[in-house]
Amino acid sequence: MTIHRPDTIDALAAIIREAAASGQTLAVTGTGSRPGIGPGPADAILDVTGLGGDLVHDPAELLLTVPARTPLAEVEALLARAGQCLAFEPPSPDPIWGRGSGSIGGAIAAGLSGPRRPFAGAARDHVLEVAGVTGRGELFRAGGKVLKNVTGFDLPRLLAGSRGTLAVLTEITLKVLPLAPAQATLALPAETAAAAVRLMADALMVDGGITGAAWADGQVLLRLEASAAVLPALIDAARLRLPALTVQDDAASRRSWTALADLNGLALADHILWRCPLPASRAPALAASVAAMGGQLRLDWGGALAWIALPPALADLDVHALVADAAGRDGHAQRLRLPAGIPSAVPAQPRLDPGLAALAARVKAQFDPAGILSPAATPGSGA
Amino acid sequence: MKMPEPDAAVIADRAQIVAALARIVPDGVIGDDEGVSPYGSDGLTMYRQSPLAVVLPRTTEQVSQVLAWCNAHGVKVVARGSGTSLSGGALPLADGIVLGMARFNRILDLDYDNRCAVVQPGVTNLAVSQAMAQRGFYYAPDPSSQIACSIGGNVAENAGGVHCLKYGTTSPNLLGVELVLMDGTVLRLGGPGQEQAGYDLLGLVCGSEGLLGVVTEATVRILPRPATQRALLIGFSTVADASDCVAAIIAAGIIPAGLEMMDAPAIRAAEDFVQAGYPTDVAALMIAEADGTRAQVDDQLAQITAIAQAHRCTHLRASQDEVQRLLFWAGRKAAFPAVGRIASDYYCVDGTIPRRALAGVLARISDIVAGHGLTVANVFHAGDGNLHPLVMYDASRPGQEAAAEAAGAEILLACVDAGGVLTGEHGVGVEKRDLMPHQYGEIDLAVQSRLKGAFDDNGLLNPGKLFPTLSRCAEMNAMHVHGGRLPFPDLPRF
Repeated sequence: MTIHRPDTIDALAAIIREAAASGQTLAVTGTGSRPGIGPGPADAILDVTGLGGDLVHDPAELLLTVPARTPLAEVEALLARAGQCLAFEPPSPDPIWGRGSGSIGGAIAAGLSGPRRPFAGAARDHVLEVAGVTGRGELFRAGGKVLKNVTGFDLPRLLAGSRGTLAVLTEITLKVLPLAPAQATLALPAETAAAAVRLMADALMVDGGITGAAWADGQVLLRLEASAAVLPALIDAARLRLPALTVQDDAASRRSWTALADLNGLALADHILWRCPLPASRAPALAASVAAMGGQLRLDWGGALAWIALPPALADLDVHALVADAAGRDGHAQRLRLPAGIPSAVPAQPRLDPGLAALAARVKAQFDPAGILSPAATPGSGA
Repeated sequence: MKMPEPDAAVIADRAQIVAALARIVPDGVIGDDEGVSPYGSDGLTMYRQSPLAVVLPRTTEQVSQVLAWCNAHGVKVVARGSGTSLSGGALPLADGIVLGMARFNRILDLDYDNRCAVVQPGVTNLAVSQAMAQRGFYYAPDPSSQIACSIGGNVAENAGGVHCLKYGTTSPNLLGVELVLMDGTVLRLGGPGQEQAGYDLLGLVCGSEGLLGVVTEATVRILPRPATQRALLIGFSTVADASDCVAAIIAAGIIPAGLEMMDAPAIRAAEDFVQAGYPTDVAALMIAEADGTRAQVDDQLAQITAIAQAHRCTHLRASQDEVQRLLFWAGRKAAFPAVGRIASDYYCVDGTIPRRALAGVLARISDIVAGHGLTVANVFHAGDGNLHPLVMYDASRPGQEAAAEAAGAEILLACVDAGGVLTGEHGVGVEKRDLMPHQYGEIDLAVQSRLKGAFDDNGLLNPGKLFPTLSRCAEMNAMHVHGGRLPFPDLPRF
């Protein structure tokens, strides 16, 4: 199979224009760390890791401009040294696929957000400007290097999470925010998803500095982040409101959330992994049906994100249908991992309503009329 | 400002169009000149154009039928919320109808467990917060016209407010919409969950200025109200000190709930108008607000105080109670009408710059305005770099209005040249449409404008807005105020 690895943006554009003219489809790929999300099979591989560029971190303006290929771990380390972070906590793909922690371009193209999403916004809310090449082979730029901008259509949001199916992003400007200096986690027992969701909803009814709310292994974990001076007061206030909690100090708290990010105890190598956003109040119904089938489930985002691990025997369990039963069209499911050698008749991608699928196809056609960019990863493609 | 050439055949068919639409919305079609006249402009009153007819639907089904009928018959449609746009986003077309969404005025669900509210688009921004105030919740985006502006309009413009540095503009607070396309298709994008399947079409629709679809329902994120809010009033003898202080606050890892700045002319005008207790011997005045628990607020204010002192502040006061906090804000929120008292006319420009460019851009603005023989007062959302120069002029003196308009265009171009953008929160609309090529290249604009074809392939929904027309014209306007009167005199503006 042909592998294109351009080292300039003009070369990238030329490859895409040629592919569009000949109808050769391209699997747009970076470091290949998220095989369950993209790009799927195509006629040739378009490896974008040869494309460099300048990295500019401007802490006082809360801006970071990076070439798409920059390793995510490098971005996070650089920001941490300046006391800043990507507030949406991009989840590392390594615990899921074991192929490294990937690039910032991959993180934005995948569009996934970590535990702070309900409190600090999603990946798409932190993308201020993008530059890249459309499926027509045009170099373009959208958005701006400022925090507040309503000039023109909001393409940065559309392109975040579009998985390389609309355009190849070569440079991304992100909003970066202060890293909270101190944290603690409150642990509360909750045997059932229903009890956990109730507890988390009650905890979040009050403004008290919570920046993470998850349920795993019979415990609700509530993360508080603040300055070291303020944290004790937040913990004291939470003690007054919430029952039977134990407090994990800074180091223990960090270990707990790292373990959650690593999907400890869930991402067993031979298991099938599903990720299901849905309204928190519908999570207990989903949890009940998953438990009845013999699967494992944990919750993040105060209950609004379910992670489901299924043994190989349940490869044909239609999780899309389980989520639809629990949440109607307000939730969806995506299979992130299907271990090698296990067949499944169930598609990995969420099903879209026909009207939405048609609109998504028209949007795709405006960027990529020849349909050459990662066609198998296109929403609604049925993959 | 040039709008697309009206279609004479459509105008000639007015009676038939009105009759057909009245069959869809029997009690909601206005088709006479006098009746449609109040819809002839929005908050940018400089531009007026009566529409062919006004349709006031009550249901999504009616919106769908109206749009489908107009699509089939080549009739243009301009959707309108409360009509408070400052960029002419809801300016009607002579050969088009206005689709007024005011009857969509119900709050459908307050869902505290999922921390969201489902509202119809005609509900005002403030009414959403008021509906949940008793439960201690609120809706964070707070554009200053919030007592009048509608949620549908907020979605169309991705509206901001003084607290959006910390809480975001409309888009990060919008979880879902019901959207009707021009062909009548009804879609749901997002919902009460935190993430939608497929492309982020919700993100694309928010801020699309009514060009892509008509929102008939919105699901917004709601938040528990912070226990405490306090503000600091900080004066500096130079703009550079104030600007450096803003950078130092951010660099210290503090994201205040609000971080506002005014220059000397704006301070004096505001103080004369509302007697907020502002020092009038400073070159720049900052309002920094902290919110959260008592401990969080005290900690943040102490840090900001230390930073301000290190940056040679000459005046510093902390609000001692809610009355005083609101008084601190009263001058800032009244800055526009305050300037309206000292100048017979002014207009408001809206650009965003990198914060560090502030001192240089303010000097450039002074030069530009002086070069046109005029004066200016500046208010600034310092936290996110969004600048509102208020250019003062006298429309009764020949040439001054044109001079003010030319100065405004030059200011926006200077914002772009300083690394900023043409609009931070008021939108492009008709006002800044023809300046777009200064910020975006031809291909950048083509990539954006093609998307309209995916939603509205006949180009009938709010045409002539946002994207430059072929005949570029230099004319450009902002919010004009004549004889000291605002288009909506009772609305705070900032």
